[in-house]
Amino acid sequence: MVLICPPVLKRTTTMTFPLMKAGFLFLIFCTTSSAEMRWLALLRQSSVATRGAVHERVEICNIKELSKKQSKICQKNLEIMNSVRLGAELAIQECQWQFKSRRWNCSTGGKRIFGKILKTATREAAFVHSITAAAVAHVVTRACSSGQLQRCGCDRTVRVKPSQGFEWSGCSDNIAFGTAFSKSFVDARDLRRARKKSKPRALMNLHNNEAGRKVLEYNMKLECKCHGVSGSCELRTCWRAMPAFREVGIILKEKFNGATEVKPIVSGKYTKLEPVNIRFKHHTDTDLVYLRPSPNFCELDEKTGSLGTHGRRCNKTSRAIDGCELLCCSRGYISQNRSERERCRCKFHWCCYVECQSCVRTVEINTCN
Amino acid sequence: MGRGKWTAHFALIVLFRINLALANWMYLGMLGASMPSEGPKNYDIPRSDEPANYGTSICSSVPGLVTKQKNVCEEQPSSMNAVIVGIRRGILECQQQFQSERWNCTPEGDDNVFGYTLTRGSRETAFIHGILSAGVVHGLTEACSAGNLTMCSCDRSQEGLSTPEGWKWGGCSDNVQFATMFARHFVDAPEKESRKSSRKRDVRDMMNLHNNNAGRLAISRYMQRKCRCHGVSGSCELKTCWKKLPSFVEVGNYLKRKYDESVLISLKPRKRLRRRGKRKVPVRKDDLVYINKSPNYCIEDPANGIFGTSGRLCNKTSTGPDGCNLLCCGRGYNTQVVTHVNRCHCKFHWCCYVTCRKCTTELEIYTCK
Repeated sequence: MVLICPPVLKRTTTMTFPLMKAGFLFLIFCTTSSAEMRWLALLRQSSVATRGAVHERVEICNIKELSKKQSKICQKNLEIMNSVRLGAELAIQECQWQFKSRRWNCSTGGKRIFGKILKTATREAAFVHSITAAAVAHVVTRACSSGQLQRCGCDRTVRVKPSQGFEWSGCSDNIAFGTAFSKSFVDARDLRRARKKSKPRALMNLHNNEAGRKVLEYNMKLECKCHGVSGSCELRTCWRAMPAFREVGIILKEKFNGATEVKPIVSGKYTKLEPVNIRFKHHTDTDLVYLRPSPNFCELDEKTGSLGTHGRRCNKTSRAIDGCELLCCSRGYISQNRSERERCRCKFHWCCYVECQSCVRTVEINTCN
Repeated sequence: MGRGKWTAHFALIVLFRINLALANWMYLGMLGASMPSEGPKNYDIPRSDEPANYGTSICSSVPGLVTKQKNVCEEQPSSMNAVIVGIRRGILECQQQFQSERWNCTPEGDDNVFGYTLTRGSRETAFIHGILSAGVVHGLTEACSAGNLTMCSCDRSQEGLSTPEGWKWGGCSDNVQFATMFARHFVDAPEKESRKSSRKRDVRDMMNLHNNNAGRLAISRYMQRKCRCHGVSGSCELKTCWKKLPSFVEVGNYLKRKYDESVLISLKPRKRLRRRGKRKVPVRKDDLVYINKSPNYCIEDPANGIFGTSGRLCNKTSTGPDGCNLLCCGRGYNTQVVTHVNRCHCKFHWCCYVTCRKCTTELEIYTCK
């Protein structure tokens, strides 16, 4: 059964009693859609900027894709919302970079940003959730450190105990604030569902969101600067800095490869996610978990949100997933030689211009059938 | 339409059967192999070099020996033991060489051994023909030198001849010529028989014959010269030398290199094999040749005898073919923790016993999803 959920219904408060009942039923069916990180709709709001009149800015907190809790957080933390949006952008960018040569290449677009891929509880959905939660935490923390936000600044707590020949100084990234904000905003919808009905999907999302943030947190680095005579390290000040987001992406991609398939186990009041195969290692707090195996993403499939790999560019010589054999799902590929013109043998002339010749280079382009 | 499809199906099945019967002499190597209890994945091929004496009874009991092979078997029953040893050596070396690849040289069925792979006409087919034919030569040569066979002994053709370098041929030179001749007679028989009966050049037969020959050549290519000095107190004034078989690992390594650079040949049956594409570059006698591209061996496909790589052990950190990335075809891996109990901190007590403690080490192993 497919139910298309009018998002308006969720926020209608002026329903009459019989309608309320129907609405309630509707709500139960419709809650599946909250697995899709609907708040990503913020990406379409161009006015998340910090400028403009307050009432204009509050507008974005009222978009229907935000849950009640989220829109409350939004109103209270208007200045942070731009970072949230940038976080979502960063997550998509990183996801697309990490998956650029896989069958599912983290393509976005359409009404749902990620398409229907987030609907099923696959590894891919797990990755998207974790990278988004991590990215929001990353960008918010970065904003704190650079002084863009009034509510937070550098982390001063690390200064308490001076140790091993250096002094805590400089601006330590305030990861605690960033992760806490990411947790309250990104997790809001799933948290409610997990508490009320302990839905397995909500539990999965929460775990993966947290895994993303934990990866960020556990990979904080010590950065130091030496201030001695002519840069010697007699005097040294250090601070805690976040890893580059690429690093987080690489780690999470590896977690994606080793993700654990889990199933919900009900014990009394609580539902827990346990590995489907008990011989396999139990997932840790930074491991990704998923409930359903992924489709093969070879063909266009409206149901799963798979776009298929027709027309994708592939690597003729690779035997991995980016190779033509696997990427094109054994359908074969077309090789085309395309000549590209590029500037070469450049010479610098005094002063000041550069003269280049143009060279033609043939590049072989392989496209999946 | 439907009927046509069925006829096609039937024709396919018939074709299949005929082809499967082609290489069943390889079943000799499986005699005495213990069938695994779960799944066909690990045949326990006996590793001992001295199989039980099967006598002439095997000549009729082994399915699929062609008339010529049966004749050889009945005339020279003692040689069959050497052939069996050789085939086993070939299969084991094949498995050794391919242990970390997606296709890992696992026998596929009860009596057709590598039936599916052999019908495929791919590089793997070429390798199997090469290595098993080399194995037969190796096993036979060894048996000749050991005096196990009545029809052959050491190669005495050069005995007593002096060389310009001042030493003499002597000792027991391994009789590779005889073994090669015998192996050609036995191993090439099915293809030669099918060629005779159809009176047409069949490119598949030609491919197999070529690869069988390439395997035999590999042995002669790696023959070594061993010498011993007989002068006063072992000085090298007097020296005798003899030819010695290479170790089979060496042959395996060589054929694996040949597999990596194997040659795709044209489908048109001509007197001489031709490359597909680069026609002018001749096909060398020691090249392995193939006519069909290999499948990717990623997903289990019982209809085609492909086991898939699901459940295979992989190396998380490797970038080679055994790495999870390549072996698992992008499907990711599962993690298992296994505990190894070893004896450690052993102490010798006078006299005479040893006490040890038990140490447990935890290891993570990775298997493809």
